[in-house]
Amino acid sequence: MYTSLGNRWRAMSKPTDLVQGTLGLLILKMLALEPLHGWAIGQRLKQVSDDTLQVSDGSLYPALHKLEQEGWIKAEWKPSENNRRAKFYTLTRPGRKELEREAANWNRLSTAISLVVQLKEA
Amino acid sequence: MRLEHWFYTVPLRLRSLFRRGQVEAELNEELRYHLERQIEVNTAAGMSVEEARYAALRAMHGLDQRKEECRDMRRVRLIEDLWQDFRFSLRSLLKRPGFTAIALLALALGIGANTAIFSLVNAVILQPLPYRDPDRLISVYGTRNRSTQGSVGPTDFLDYRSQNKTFEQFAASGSMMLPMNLTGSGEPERLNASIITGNYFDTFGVRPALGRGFSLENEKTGQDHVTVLSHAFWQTRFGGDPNIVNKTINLDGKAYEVLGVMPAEVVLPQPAQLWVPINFDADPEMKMRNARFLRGIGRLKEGVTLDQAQTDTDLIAAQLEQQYPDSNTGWSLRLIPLREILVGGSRTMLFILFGAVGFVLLIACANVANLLLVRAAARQKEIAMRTALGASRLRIIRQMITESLLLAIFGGALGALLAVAGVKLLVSLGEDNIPRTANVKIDATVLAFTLLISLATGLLFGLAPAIRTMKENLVDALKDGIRGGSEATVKNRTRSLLVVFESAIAVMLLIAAGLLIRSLVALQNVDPGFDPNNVLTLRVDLPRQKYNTPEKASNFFEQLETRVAGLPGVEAVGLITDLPLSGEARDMPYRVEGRPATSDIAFVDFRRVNKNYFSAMRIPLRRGRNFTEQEVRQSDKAIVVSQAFVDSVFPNEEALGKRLIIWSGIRNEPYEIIGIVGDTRYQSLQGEPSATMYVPTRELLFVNLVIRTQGDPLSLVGGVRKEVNALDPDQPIAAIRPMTEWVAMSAAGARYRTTLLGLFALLAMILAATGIYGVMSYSVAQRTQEIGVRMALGARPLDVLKLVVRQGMMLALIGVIVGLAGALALTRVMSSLLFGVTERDPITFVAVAALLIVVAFISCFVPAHRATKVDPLVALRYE
Repeated sequence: MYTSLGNRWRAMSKPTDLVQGTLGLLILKMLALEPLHGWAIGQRLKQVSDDTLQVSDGSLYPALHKLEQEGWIKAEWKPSENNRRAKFYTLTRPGRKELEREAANWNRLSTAISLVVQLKEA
Repeated sequence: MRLEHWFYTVPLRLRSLFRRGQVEAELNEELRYHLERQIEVNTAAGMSVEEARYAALRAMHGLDQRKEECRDMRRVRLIEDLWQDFRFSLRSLLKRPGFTAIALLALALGIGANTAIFSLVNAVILQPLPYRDPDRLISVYGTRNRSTQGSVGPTDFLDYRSQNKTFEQFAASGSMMLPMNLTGSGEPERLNASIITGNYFDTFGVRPALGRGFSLENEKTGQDHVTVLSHAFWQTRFGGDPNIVNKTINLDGKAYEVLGVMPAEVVLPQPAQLWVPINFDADPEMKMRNARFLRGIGRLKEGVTLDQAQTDTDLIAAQLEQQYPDSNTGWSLRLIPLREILVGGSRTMLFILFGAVGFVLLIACANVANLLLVRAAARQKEIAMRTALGASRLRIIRQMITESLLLAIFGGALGALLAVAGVKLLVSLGEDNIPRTANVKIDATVLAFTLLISLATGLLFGLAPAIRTMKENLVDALKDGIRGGSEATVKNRTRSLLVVFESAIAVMLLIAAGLLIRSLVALQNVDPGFDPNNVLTLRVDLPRQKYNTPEKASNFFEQLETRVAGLPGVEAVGLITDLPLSGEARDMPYRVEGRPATSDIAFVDFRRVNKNYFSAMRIPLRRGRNFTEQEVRQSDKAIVVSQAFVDSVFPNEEALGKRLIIWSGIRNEPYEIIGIVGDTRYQSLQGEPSATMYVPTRELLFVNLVIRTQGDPLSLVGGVRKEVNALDPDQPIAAIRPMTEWVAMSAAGARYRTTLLGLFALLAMILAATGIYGVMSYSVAQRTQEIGVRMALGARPLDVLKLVVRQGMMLALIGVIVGLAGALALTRVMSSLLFGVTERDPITFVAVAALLIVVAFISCFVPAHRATKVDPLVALRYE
């Protein structure tokens, strides 16, 4: 009985090496290409970014669940490539719009930062 | 976009809440799948199975924490926690049924009383009057020297109506009901008709549900024999006949066309059975400015203030005064908002009752807070344990407050049920004493109020224990258990304060109730100046058409008097125009012959009587003589006056034989004083009896019979009715009741408020007594060990008794003193409700203080007595 009243406000683990919020953008982009399950998303992230983006397995699932609860992606249980049941995520229509918004934001931000960084010293 | 969003999210939230098991299972399966794939990869890279599993888990940075994070993403945490708190609280309340029952009872009584009284306040004061733009409606009174609220003369009214510039509508009704006799179909019936101007309904903004209302045309001869029926009368007399409109009914022997029927929900200030228009040309009385019998009602023009309207009418009054000095000197209009007239008088009483139940609720809160403090002390170890296991303070406090709110809401629900019964009682008791009681009901507004005060009380009594818990020293609590010296002092201080507070409030309420009780007793001991026992009263109204000469009416009443006097058991038959304490009265301008006329016209309460009135009422003749039968029959110019009249008009002169000039309707005539009788309280039991003048006559269209009987007055009703019908089979009688009932009715308001406030004060006292008892019982239980030690060391039972009682009585005494001081400050607000006692009546203050001390003593004595039964051996082992 007592454990159920335990403290639940622990600090959340943040993906340290990623700009905050970009993990969601990356996941949405992955899923825009094809439906994937959690493990595959992790693998894909490592491949495409040449290990530059270090996403821990731990932070991946809370991020996935957040996107699912926001309604950007939806889940479906399907047999995976090794013929076991896995939870596949698909982009929803609102998710696609969210991706466009976030991608545009990211482009603006990165362009702005690039401009600043490339300023020639006088 | 939003909608599509919800299409995905809403099912997910619902699933998280109601399919929690499945959601959890899926989370586990998803993570297991991940781990298995990772282990496969790791073993493929050459790790042992053991190493591979370990590495996979490590990569997750704590599997359980990640799961918890995933759960947090579901966004239903708050609801889940609330649900959990709710179930936990419910369990913990059910585990202690005794505590829960006592707390619920206190809360239900407190909240129930508040709900019931609030429903009165809501209906009477807060709800707008049921008319169009009710704030613009103004009651219009005729006034002399701006001090009275009298009537307006018909011709004056017409002048005000045509000349004013500030009223959108200006209407009037007869200041008294017009009795009309309905004949023709079925039993003859005496009806209460209200005579109104053609624009009366329009002024209020009410309309008949059936047919139409009056117009100004109906004030003219030829158009005035029309009527509008009230819904109730239409139902009872005509069975709700839908074709009643345009039919004719017979009133006072004349045919009246029914124009319409008012809706049931329309209640006008003068509740009549039917309405008929005033014809301003009907008879000569309508042209006399001195015959004042109208009450005005005006609707202010948009944006006009009361002051502007008053200035406007004052201007007209000044012109009338110049034009008609004989009749209009000193007269003007007094404008008072209708709302003030309808609810103003009961406002003080309602607010005092509201305050009283508020105090009762505060005591109930204090009691429950105290019970919770006791429980919190008992649960200290449990709470410390939970804190040690990682529950945050906030979480624990939230759970405790949930428990308090749960108690309060259940208490409130029970209270609302109590209030439903209570409101019925309030209304049935107070029908005649509180305006607009028809509106009193437990509706959504009232229930919202109940919910609000339930939550507020829950927070109020739940906060104290919660704050205490917050300050609790965790380590001490765990080490010490529930025993220990230091915690006792701090907590006892809070509880002691509660005892002081409860006693103080109970004292204040008891004093308020005590003052009202003393007022009521004083009121009932007032000598009305007559003997109301064994007197039957009834009223006969003759139709003007049938009895169209004074002689006919006089004949009727003389024969009736003789016939009734001949009935067995009748001692005397008196006749009078307006009964004492019936609320009806009229006055008469006069001046003393031989004294110079002054601009201030004197008025005197004026009653027409027969010779036997004084003996029937047992009003003593002080000096001079009574009327003779001859004088009554001839309506002679003789008068009998009351002692108060002599004292005020002829303080140092012989009054007998003096002559007064009285305006008798047509011209000023001298009347001679032949007798002086004792004073009678005609207007009310309160205040000094007014100066009264009696004139002999039977030339009246209506009369009240006062019949002195030997036995039960009501046993005579059948006999009297037979005699009336023998004289005129179409003649109804009305207002049949014993004189004692008129007396009781005039004290009904005082009795009502005394009963209610007394009830609430009693409730407060009982709650306070249980509060003191609870605190002392707990204190004794807490000090069992100490008491055991004292007794082991030789203390006698009496010493222990003194110890405990002294502690409790100290607190109660402080409470009594605080309460007395509070009462001194607060009883001022009720001075208008007091009669025969001052607001600082020492007898009440001393009696209440003594009463509370006795009650507190008993509440302390019982637990103290229990303490003396402590077995030292058991107490010393007590842990």
